Amino acid sequence: MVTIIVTEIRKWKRNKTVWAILFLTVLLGVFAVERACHISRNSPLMDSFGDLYTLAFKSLTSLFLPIVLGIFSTTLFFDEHKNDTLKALLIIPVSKAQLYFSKVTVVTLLSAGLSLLTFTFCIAGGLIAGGFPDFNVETVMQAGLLFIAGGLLVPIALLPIIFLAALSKGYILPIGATLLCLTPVIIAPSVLMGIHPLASMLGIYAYISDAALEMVETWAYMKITTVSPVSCMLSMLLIGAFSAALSLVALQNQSY
Amino acid sequence: MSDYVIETKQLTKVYGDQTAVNAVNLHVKKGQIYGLLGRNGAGKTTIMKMILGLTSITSGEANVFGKNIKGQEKRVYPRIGAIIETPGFYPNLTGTENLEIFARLRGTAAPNAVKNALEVVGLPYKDKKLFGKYSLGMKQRLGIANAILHDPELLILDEPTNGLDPIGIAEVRNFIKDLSASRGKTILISSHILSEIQLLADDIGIIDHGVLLEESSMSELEKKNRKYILLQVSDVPKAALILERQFQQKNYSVQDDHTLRLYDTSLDMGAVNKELVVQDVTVISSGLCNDTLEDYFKRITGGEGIA
Repeated sequence: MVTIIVTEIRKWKRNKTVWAILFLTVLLGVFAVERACHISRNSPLMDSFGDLYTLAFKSLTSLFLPIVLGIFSTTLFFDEHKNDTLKALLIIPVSKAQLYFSKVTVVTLLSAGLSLLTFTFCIAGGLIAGGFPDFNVETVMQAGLLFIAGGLLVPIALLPIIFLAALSKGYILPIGATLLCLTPVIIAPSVLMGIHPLASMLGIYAYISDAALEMVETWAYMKITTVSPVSCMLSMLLIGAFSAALSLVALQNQSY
Repeated sequence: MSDYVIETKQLTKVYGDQTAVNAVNLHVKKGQIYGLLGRNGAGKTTIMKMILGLTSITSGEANVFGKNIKGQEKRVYPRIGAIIETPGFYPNLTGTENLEIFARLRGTAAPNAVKNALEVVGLPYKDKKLFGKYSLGMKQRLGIANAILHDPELLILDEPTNGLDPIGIAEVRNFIKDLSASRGKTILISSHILSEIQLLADDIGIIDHGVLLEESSMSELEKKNRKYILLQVSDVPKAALILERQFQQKNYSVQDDHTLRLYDTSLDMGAVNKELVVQDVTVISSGLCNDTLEDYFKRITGGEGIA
């Protein structure tokens, strides 16, 4: 399995999509540093390190990461069809389950990598801009935990989209579904917590730190008191497992 | 244990209400080159896909090395190298990088496997050119290199000379022959180009509309081909009349304005020529000929469609 994952990563050498994703993530990081440098510490928008990392985190995970990972996972599956490499892989043999899980792992690694990159920019912002009274090991660790959680939870939340990517032999359906999936979360995240995987993530983030709680409450326009992180996690895992099972069935039934 | 490396029994594939492959019984012997000849869309690729387990079988069975591939993939696939339709590779990687990926996935142990495979097909090792920039011929070569990378016992090659120039075709042909002759590989090759199969194959299967019309060794097939007398004359209608009236011949065919084929080879051609000349029909040439494989193909499939 490790070999399959390693080769999966090697396939992305010189790939423009990956470079574009990295470039946009760096831009996002630079934006966070710029905000830290240019907004006064007297402003409630940037008077703590919590404000900086939640700003960067929200920018990363609310829209950017789901869209980017939706596109990336779609390309991962569709390009095997487009390049006609799937047949060659299957007769090695690489099983369809191995193929599926290796691609999901690559999506997760990319997500975690982008999260950690943004986290690094947050620390750089904290150091360069200075003046954050709460910039200490504890808040940095809380920020790190939040970014790790985001990096790992977004791919789980996107497993239904990955199912569509595995099912369809085109870009339009999964990418369209990603956008469609995001819309209700943007409009009414509080209603969907515990139901919709992307909204359920918020219910988990809220329990990581005070700054994260504040971020989620502003994001969802609600007080997070009744939402259980366990039920949100269970809901995400159930939907994810169901989507993974469906993906495997869809792949098994495909002819080449 | 079967004597055949590949054996299909009543292999059938139905898509909706269309039967793509109909009860095909294929027998590929060890160490032989088996040529599957048929028009485009005859069902060659579908048969190969079913043999490889890439597409489901509607009914019948396909055994490779005496086993059904389903459930035996890990044991059987490492013994097979294949190209099905177009060779698939990653366009953003070089030929070497592509092969390294497949070698790694296969766990190919030989350190120079990639280099050797590229050398065999005449592609440079560690070349900077990306696969996306390859010509069709180079893509085919890389596909063959990938198929032989792990030194398999059986090669399944679906139209491997597609897109190659005449020199490339000859090179690939020689290389395939060599693989069979000197390394004892069993090869199932499909093509719609008759001359290619004729020059390569030891055994041949002729497929048309999903039905295997003929399966025999090339030498048997050559024996089966009809002998005939080819007669070139100045006036075909008049010659035909003479043959019917004077020699009671009805088993002939008119090829064009000046050519006839007489299928009764026991006919005294001296007497025929003499009679034609006497009746003012110039005989340009006459001689004993054999049906070509192309003639045979047309005869049994009932039409044109092969190169």
